[in-house]
Amino acid sequence: MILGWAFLFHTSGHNWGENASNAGAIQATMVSSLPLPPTQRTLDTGVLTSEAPSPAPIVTKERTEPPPAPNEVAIPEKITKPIKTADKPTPAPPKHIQPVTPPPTKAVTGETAGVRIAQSTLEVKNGTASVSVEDRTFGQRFAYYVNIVNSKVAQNWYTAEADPRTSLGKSTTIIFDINREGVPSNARVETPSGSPTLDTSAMRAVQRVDGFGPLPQGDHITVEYTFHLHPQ
Amino acid sequence: MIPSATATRHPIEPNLRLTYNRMHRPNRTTSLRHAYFGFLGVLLLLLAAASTLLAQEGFKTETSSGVSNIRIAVADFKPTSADPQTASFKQTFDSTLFADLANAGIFDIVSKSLLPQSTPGAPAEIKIQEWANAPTSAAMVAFGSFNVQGNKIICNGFLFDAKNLQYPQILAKQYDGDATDDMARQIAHRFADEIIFRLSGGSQGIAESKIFYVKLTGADKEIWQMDYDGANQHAITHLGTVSLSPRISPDNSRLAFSSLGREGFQIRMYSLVLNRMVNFTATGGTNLSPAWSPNGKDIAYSSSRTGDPEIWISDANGGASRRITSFRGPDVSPVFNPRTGSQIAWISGRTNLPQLYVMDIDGANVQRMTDGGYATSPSWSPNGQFLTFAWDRKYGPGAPGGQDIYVMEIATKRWIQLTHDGGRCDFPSWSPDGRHIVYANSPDGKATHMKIMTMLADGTQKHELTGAGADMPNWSWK
Amino acid sequence: MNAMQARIRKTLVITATLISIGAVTGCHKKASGINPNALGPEPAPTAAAPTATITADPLSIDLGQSVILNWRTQNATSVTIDGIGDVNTNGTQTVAPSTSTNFHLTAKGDGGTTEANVRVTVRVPVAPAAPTESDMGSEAAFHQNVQDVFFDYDSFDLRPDATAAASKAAAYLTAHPAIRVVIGGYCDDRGSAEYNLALGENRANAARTALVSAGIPASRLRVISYGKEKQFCSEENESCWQQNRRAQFSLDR
Repeated sequence: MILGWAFLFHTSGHNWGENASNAGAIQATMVSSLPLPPTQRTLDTGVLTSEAPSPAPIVTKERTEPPPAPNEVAIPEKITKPIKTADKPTPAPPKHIQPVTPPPTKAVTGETAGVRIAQSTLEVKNGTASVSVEDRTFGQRFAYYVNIVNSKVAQNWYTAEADPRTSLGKSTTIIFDINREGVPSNARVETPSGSPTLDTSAMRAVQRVDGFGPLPQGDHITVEYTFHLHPQ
Repeated sequence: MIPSATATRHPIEPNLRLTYNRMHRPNRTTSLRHAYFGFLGVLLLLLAAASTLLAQEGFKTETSSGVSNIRIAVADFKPTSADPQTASFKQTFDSTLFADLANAGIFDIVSKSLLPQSTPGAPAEIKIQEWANAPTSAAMVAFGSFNVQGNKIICNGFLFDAKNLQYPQILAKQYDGDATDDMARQIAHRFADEIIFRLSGGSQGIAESKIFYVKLTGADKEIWQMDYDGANQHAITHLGTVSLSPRISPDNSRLAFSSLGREGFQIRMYSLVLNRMVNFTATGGTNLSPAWSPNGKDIAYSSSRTGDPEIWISDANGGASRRITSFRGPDVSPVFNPRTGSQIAWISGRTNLPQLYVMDIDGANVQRMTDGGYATSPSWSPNGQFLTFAWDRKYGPGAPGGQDIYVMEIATKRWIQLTHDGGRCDFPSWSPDGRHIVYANSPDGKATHMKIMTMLADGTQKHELTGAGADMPNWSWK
Repeated sequence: MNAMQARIRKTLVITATLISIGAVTGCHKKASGINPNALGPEPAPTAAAPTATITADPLSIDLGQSVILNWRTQNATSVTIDGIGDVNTNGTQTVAPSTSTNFHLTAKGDGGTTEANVRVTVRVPVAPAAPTESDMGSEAAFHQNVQDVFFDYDSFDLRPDATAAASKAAAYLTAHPAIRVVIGGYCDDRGSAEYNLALGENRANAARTALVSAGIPASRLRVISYGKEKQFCSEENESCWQQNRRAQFSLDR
């Protein structure tokens, strides 16, 4: 009898969500799996950065300096000089913050990783995803691209793949390369989180992406991607 | 109700829009429940390990990602010449660019009333801060200059990242062309596609894509073409008979369709490069609904040369044909998997009412996808994961039928309904970016009142592309 | 005496009649003696003769569709079109004739009258009613003996009434070996165009198979499916839908 019931349960378990033959019983929303962005807001500022006040004077000072001409790849060094007083580009995601209150302790996710350069941080459903690029000039100049990388990987992260019993509150860091055409490769775990399922879910997120679009510059970048699964 | 089981299987809170009925809920006594807790625990671990259900769940959640629509402000371009033609062409350009970006499905476009008063025409002229501040609050700004010199349009377009004050420039493009209204539209389409390519992470914009469709011309039906936004509608065929099911080749060079001749319906081929009909081997029977393989070399279609309509595959000239189905009953409307080219979905009446099936291109691994009703006209999504089709789930004698557009995920057979209570809908076709679906709709069900509509692939943002008298749309591959 | 008197009276009557006839004709002659050429010249026309053209778009339609008539006249004061009545001197009108019609326009003006015509052809998807003789026999006899078969919704199986009709048809065709038949398959207008074309094919083939099984050589039978592209009626009710779900037999000339 137990076997019988187990079989029944087994059967109903499989029927769940599988076949539309339970007519009308299951209508999943597949919005997120269609290539349409769902409507959750991007967290505009990093996890620990402040809300955006607007020190206008600093900004106008900045504007006089950098001519955003397309060919000035080598020049960034010069431009950062005036900005260094106002904005330490290293830890803060410049594209999110106009005001440039500097504190370098603003390691966005609280980790003590080395030089976290231009970084993008997104609030994901159960956690935080942040991406940083090892080439600091690339990350500064092409912050929008860094954000696209983050969005696409975050969109493909299935949090359910991580066993909550072992993964909550943990972070994992994945490193991968992106070639000139924008195709990711060579994904590897840099800092295991201690939860194999969380690490695997993060690896799979990267592997699911076909491409991020051609690199705006250069042949190759290396990206560090960190997942932090919130405690429920 | 096994709490541990539910926890493992549903780690996500119930704000998911997943509604389901447990159809089989066995009655158990408490003692027995305890008794097979352990047994089921084992079973579930096996299930969890082996099944893909967990992945599907996460896959289905609405809010598992933090991606939102990018908020983009599209400025009116600055006219930089006194030529009197500039104003009207610029008006066409501005409105086309705005519409293309609004239609893309990945942007939250800032409404014109929230834009700052300024009209920057060049990078030196733009004050990014005023675009990033409220009320505009843009993340991206598209702006530039537009002018007519002599009889040429010269347009400079820029895309700036409003949040990267050091390096805001993402795109700087220059376009020129003859000074015509159509060229103003084409330039806007091209710039919009550039922006979409850049900001969507490499997916191709659809602003330059075309839709081929059937136009009702009195007693006859001819094949027509229009831009993806309904502009530029014009005739392609002038055969003076009933022509149906236009399907454009992947490289946009040839148009296959089915046309009524003296011997019945035949597959015909039109070359858009040569602007005339080209050869396709005629064969006996009724030949319908051609479909291109993604490599452009093969055509699948329904042919009744053996007496029963079956799915055949031939090369693009109609030669080397081979039959791949052999079911009693009508087999029609094949479509290839555009990503792999190794599967075909089609409609078969082998179990009486037409149902949706999938098989390999050699005819093996036949899989039935719909469980009843009247299913018809499938189209396969560019990423290979979804089928869209028209389905009347309550079809029956005397019933007026509520035929609507559905999207089904092939791996799980789960579906969503995209149209409701709008009348009869049919012939959905995916856009090349997989974000839009174009379809035919007749509010009162009459064939002469069919018109073509477009929508996002989640059923939102529906609008009309044509007036009455248009049917069977087919979206180009690029 | 009486006989004499009678004769005289008769003669008198005859004479009088002759005289009166002569007088009458004579009067006539006198009256028609006016020389028309003696009348003044005919008054010259004071207005130009009217001109008129009439066109129809399209010129041929299926039953139930409409046509736009478009006419232009000059120098006309009153314009009429048969079947419509008085109309403006220039204008358009949408009409939906149920049979092929010749639209005849008459334009009258001070300078005279002129006419214009346009013929609109209406295609009705049934075999012509007028019997025509040929070596295949008459249409009327054909249609009496070889009757269309009707089908249930979404089905291409022959119902018992259809099977009986097919046997009767086979008997007639066997008796008239010169007849070749084209079988048209049709569907009602619900459902999808593509699927209905395939279903129509199956219906026509089912009828064909029934005839072949009854001994008619396949070479005498040809099949065309029209799906729902040609309809026999256009109401949205079951009786019209049943009318459309058929395999139709026609002489294949």
